[in-house]
Amino acid sequence: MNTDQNNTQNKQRTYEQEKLAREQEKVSKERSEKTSKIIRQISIWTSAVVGLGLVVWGIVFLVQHYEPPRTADGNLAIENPITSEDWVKGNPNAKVVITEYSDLQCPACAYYNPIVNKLITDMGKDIAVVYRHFPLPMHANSKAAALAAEAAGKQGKFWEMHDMLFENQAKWETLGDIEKTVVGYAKTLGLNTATFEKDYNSSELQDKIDAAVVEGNRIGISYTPTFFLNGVRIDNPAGYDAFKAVIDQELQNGSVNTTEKGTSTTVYKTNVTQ
Amino acid sequence: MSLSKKLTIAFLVLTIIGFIDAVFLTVEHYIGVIPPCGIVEGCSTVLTSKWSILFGVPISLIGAINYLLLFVITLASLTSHKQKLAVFAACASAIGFAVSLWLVGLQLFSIKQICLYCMTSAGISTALFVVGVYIVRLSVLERKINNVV
Repeated sequence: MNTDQNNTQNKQRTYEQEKLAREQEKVSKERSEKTSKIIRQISIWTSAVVGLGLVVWGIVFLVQHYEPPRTADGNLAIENPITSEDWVKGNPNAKVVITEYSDLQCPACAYYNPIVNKLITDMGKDIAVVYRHFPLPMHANSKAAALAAEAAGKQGKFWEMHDMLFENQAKWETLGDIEKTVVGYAKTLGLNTATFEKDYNSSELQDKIDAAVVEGNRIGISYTPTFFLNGVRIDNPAGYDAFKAVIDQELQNGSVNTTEKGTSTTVYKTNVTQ
Repeated sequence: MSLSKKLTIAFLVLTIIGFIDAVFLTVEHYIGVIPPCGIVEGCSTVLTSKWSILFGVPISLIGAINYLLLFVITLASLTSHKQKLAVFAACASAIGFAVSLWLVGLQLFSIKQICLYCMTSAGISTALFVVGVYIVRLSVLERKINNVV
């Protein structure tokens, strides 16, 4: 009888022990599952944060090291940085010639205008700035603005009209027709408005602008403003100081372009009348 | 994988693309010199217009924050298996869609210039809204089925 009782007790104990072990196993399994879940969550969120951080960093890096699109043949130089046909500011015989392809309706060009003007004020003896039209197709009024500047140029006030157009760009960029506005500017500049209007509508100036567009396309200009320093394209400097630094370096280097390009520069320079 | 999960993942991917696009525009705003006028697109005009900044904050930064918030909520929904969060993000995407419509209107009628990256962002906002509508509809449908059962 006693032996039977002992057996039953033992069986019950073993059963309870097994039950306990199973429960412990279950708890530890749940715990490890929970832990792995937490680890998974942490790793997902960490990789999300790291991934997005890398994306932001990558974009900042790319923007900082952005190179404007090059022409098909990789040629970033122009053979004639200054010609007798050009509008030139500063000293046409200077060692450093900056050739700007610009669009009067382009906000970036308007942004650079006071910078270039300050460069001329501060170092006009040492540099020449050449302005060339490159009205972009998407700017509805930029050709008309170029015509206005050229028409004013016929009366000797190209740069004055050019500055006025840039300064007032926001006022005329969305107009349907800018003729009235530019005639108003011509009046303010003291030009003969009748002659101005005639020139503004002349096919001669129209052809001149069209030729400038063809030439810009030939060189491979794809954005405005595009600056060339002694015939070699430079990245648009970030503000006045950066621009001045680029020029100073070129001045220090002396006559950098001893290549064919440089020679042609000299040839053209002698023909320039300011 | 359930359909609602697939939609949520699609939503998540769109928020990432939108975020990249908006961050690019924001970085351009803060680091880039005034972006030059390109021959194919008029970002310069659009990004320098008076509408590009709202209370001193560039619109692109607001866009980037919008995409980031949507991303975080959607990822939280996926990791915690709470569909409610995805539905919330889907509803919130309507705001981005409405703002995008307004910005596209500005480009077409006021600035009269199209900025490629801004249009990309508008496209993503629209796609998010469309996917969002499906997420909400599916969740409503699932709830109805659960009620019946």
